[in-house]
Amino acid sequence: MSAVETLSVPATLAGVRQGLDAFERFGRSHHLSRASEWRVLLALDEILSNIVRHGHPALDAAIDLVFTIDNGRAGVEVVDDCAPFDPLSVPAPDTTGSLETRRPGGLGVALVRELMDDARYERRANRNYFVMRCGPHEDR
Amino acid sequence: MKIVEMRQGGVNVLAPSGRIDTTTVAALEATLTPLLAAPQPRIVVDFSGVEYISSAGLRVLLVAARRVQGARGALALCGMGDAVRQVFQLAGFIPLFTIRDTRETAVGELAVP
Repeated sequence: MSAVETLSVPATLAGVRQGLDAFERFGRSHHLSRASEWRVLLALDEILSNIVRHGHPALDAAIDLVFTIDNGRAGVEVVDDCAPFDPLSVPAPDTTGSLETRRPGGLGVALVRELMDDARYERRANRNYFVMRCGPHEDR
Repeated sequence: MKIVEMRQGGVNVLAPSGRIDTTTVAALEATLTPLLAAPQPRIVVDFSGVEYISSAGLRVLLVAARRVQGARGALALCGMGDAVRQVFQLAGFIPLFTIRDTRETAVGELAVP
């Protein structure tokens, strides 16, 4: 059983929310496991918010999204026209420092790398392409 | 994101529900800020109703933990489901916080005698 949905959201915080809500609806209407759903929503939040915060989007910039589900495996493609940014090139975060010295930078991307089964970035024709796949994960 | 707030035994208990991510974290931060400004704050955050937490939420909690420590107060987290716990583990955040299974235990430990 497979399904595809495409949409475009503004490169703003409101657009991030639209993207997350849309994936949640898409996943639930195609019976994606909750175990996969939260992983994808979290990863999507990290990727989209990085674009909004670090991509210097133009006022009317949009982010194109493609959602797929294929036999319980979810896929998301995120395409934007913002500044070149490869999330996978962000160095691994500090995960062992004390409360006083811990720096949270890079945590978001690290979570994407850990939670997604596959993640890839490419810069093509002045656009950032980020593709990630997750699952199947069974609900307990 | 809805956040239920109450006071038990001199402890402020926050119970957010839904997702804690970039789109909802401002509500959590807004709820925590006045509590953190009080002297010796005692705060429990109950994650029973939380589906997942992203790095945006982790950042807010890290700041809260530091401020509580500086104010010689106490912060405890409880009710973590699999998703929240896994994210805390991946981020290496487990050793940074007081984490208990239930709200009763967390409030009990922080309550003013």
